[in-house]
Amino acid sequence: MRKSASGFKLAWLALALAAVPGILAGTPAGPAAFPTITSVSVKVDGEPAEAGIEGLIAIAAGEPYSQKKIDAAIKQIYQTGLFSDARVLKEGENEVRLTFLLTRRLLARTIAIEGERALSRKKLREGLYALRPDGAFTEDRLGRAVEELKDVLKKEGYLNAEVRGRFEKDSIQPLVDVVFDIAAGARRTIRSIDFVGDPAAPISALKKTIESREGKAYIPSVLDSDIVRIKGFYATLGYPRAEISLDQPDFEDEEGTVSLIFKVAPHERIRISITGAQVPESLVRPIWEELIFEEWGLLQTETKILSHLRDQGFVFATARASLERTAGELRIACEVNPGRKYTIYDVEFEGNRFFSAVDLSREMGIGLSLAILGGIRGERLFEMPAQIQRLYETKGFPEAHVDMNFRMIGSDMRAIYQIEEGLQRTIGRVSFNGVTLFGAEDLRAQIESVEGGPYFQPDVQKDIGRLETFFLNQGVRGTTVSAAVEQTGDRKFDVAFNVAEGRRVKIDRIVVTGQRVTRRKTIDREIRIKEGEPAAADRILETKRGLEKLGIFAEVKIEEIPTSLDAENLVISLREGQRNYVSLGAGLETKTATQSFEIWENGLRPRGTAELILGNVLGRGSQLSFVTQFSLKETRGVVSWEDRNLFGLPLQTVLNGWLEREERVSYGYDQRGVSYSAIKLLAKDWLSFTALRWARTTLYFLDVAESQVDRQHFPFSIASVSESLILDRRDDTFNPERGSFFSVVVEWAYPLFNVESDFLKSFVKYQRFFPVLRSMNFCLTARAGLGMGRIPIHERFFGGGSNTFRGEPFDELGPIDPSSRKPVGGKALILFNFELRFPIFRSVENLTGAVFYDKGNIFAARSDVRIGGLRDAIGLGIRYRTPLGPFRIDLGWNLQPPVGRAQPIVFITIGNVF
Amino acid sequence: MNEKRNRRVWIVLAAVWAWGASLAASPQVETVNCMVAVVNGRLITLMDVKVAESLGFFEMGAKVDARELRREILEKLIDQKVVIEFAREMTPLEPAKVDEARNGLLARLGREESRRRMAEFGLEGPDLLPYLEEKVRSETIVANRFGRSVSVSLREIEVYYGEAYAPMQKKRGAVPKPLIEVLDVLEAEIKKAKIESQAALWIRNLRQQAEIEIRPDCLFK
Repeated sequence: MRKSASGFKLAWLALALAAVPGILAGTPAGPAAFPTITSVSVKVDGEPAEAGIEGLIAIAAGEPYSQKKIDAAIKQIYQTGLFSDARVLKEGENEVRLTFLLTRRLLARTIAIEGERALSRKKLREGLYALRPDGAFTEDRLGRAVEELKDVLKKEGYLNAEVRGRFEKDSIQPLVDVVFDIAAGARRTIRSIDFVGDPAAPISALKKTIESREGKAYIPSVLDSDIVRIKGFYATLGYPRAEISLDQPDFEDEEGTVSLIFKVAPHERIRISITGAQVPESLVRPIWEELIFEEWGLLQTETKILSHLRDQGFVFATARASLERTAGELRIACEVNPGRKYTIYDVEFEGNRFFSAVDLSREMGIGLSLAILGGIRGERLFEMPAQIQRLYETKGFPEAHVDMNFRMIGSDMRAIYQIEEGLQRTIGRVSFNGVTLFGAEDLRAQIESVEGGPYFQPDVQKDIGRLETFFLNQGVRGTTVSAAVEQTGDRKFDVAFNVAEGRRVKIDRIVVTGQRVTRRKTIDREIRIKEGEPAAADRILETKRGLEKLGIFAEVKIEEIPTSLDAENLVISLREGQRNYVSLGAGLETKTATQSFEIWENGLRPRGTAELILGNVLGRGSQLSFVTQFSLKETRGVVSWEDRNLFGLPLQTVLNGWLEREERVSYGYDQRGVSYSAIKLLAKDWLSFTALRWARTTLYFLDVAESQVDRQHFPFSIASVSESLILDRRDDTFNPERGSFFSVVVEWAYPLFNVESDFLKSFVKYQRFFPVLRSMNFCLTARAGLGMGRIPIHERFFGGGSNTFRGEPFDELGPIDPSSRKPVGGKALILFNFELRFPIFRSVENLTGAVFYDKGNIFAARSDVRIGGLRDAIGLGIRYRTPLGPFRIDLGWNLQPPVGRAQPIVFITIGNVF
Repeated sequence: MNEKRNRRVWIVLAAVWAWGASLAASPQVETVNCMVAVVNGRLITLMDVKVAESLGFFEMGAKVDARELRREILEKLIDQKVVIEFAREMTPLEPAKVDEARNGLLARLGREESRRRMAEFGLEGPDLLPYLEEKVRSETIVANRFGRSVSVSLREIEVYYGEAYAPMQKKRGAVPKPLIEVLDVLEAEIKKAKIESQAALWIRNLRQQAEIEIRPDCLFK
């Protein structure tokens, strides 16, 4: 008994001791003095994160544990836009181990729509906003996208459509493929259509105007446009203010039909009469289509009629509009007295001292109108006083006043603008308050306001923006600038810029993420800022632009994530785009210049292009392309390697190799060659293009006498270097309307390595585009080329055709072989092209007409160049604007045509003339 | 027999020891922060909710359920974000109003208690500013939008006096003051209630147009 009792006690003691570890583990530790982080690990989608991602978290082992810092880290991670979720786990009390669990933001790679083809895929996709290819994907968005598709189907009459969305995630990349399954169901049928209210027109006529019909499908979107049609119908009857609405449809679910009722309220009939002049009523009718303040409506009516008449030269027209209301009708009557018609042949300025007459004409844009068109629109005359006044205001003349007078000589008129400039306001002192980080001179260099210069308040506002930008570009964030202006003299104003400086911010870390193929070196080359440097906004922007220019990223985002008051991380998120492209093109060409608008009579031949482009080759951002073009006149194969850092040179370079055969008018050649070219941006807008070329050319036929050319059948090798300088200030490369283009090229072909080449060629081109009047556009081009030395026929200047001289077919301008009558080309070229474009139909914006004048010639030698030797051609044409340039049909007449030449010559081209 | 029993006891003891040892070896893992909600691309973290809860940013009334309380606080934070998003341009912030909000908070909790609660999150005085600024900005936007357009009629004050104010005073055991003496106070109360009601409707509409994503699994960690 005693033995078992002591054994029992021993067992209890042992049990108590055994439980100690468990109790200790469950007991919370006493308050930690300074919990310290011993490790930080990061996992993305369950896997350890790459180094770049770890760099996003500004918490390191050894730091004190802080919830505040963890919260800041999560917010910074979210700001990168890379992750849809972040969670932080903590282990330990005094020695804390943190784990960041991040979930990558998913992107929708493809969006497919399957199921019943009730509507076109295009129409369904147009209604999708919540989900787009390459856009963010969440299940929330998927739900919204389903509702959007249902809405689209409902609008097309599928009221009970069922849409299910599903997605499949890529096992490696954060991409999903989304599929929508659609069961559209059946549409309802329209049982009856009625009109209630006061139709003021036969119901049968109303029913004829609409697309919806009894017995046809009920489609809400069609009903919306039916309402518009009915309104239009009432407008033609003189009821422009008619209100049409659709009552709640009456659905009969068992039959699957619906009854529709249109509510019609025509309101007043509007009658407009304009007497005394030929003015179309359609000019003023839109004013009265809405319910408006009638006094305003009458004023607008008079203004529009006067503007219309003045444009036609009735400068002294008067108009008086009045209104009469009868039962159900509103009559607007306008009595017009047009006065005499004048041609405004000149404009004069009096009283102007600050601006010269030439300056004012240029600023008003009237110089060319007078020079080219010999006149100016009447309405423009009346716009000018206010515009001249505004021009003076910008130069510190707030009291400028402009009166307009006229001097008539018969039916011609000269407009005289009498300008009272008033006194100019100037800036007295410019000062800066609150600036400690930079000197006043640094700030002064940023602004347009200068002491003694004109004072104009909006300019001061712009200077505020310039100063704020300056601070951003110096890495200072949070700066605000305001301006206080004080009048210190009679017309003197002191401007004080008050600056609340922000803080200098440095770049802590630069994190690059998202690239899979592109080498880090290729990306680093474009980064214009370093860790530890001030966060200069312009360099950050330059970095973004540089990366975008590589042409290999579908998206480049740069986020500045503050890590402390004076430091931030720069997170560069990249999404690589499609890398490889294949394109095929096919077309037709005419064997000779088109002689007829009936295309089939012009001897058509097929033409094709095939192109393969491999992008971001080897992750270098380089591009390898293979292009072939073939037709019965030319065959060409080109291999190109485009690189931004070839041989370590920070230049955009292209290595080309080609084989080609081309048949020209008087010769045909085979050529193979290689070239190396480099493009560099010089000073503002100037571009340098340097090329080294080696080519070997064999003429396989020659239709001119051997005496006419320097070399002929033997293979002709050329090794040349050329340098081009280009200044492109056009507003658009393919469809320029204003600006200028200048280029000069010099090519020197030197007899190196047993090649035969030995010539020097230069070519200059200048283009100018500017708008004339409201919607006309004028362009001029001047080209000159000179060559000396031994220039083979295929390197000479040729002219003629739709892009050079439209009075001669392709290549046929200039000296010709006396026996074969084929062109031989020349060593000198002079060409001028002038073209005026104008709209044909205002409703068709992209369609314009053109009249042109070409002058020029090709000369056999420099010594043959003379002005009297230039040929002339005139013509007219039609252009239709496309994204790749205008589609052109031109008719050209040579003013000195060769004997037997059929005229006009027809040219059909895509692209600008010059 | 005894030997057999003793062996069983030792086996049980060993098992208990092993369980205790395993507890000692495996540390507790807890979620300290996560993304609770995203409102038009703006993030609310679990810590934001906890700070608002701990420091009493919002007057919540009596909520028995802690989960319900936390959810309500999240909704208030979401409302703030949609209102500020609506205003787009930065509504000028009056520093005095932010100071007033901070002082009110300190007065409600007491300085020491406020400090203690902030220290739990590693926060110091200036760290509260972003929270307070957001709250004040949101309130300013609502006040600017509705404060001026709301009017209160005498009839409404009379009705409120008879149906709400007087009964409440009597319930407290106090004698209701004459209407003329409390006119301004009652007008302010009615105006406030009207503004709140209109603002709530407006905010509800804003929320319908907003992109709001809530993660309940994070909220209740």
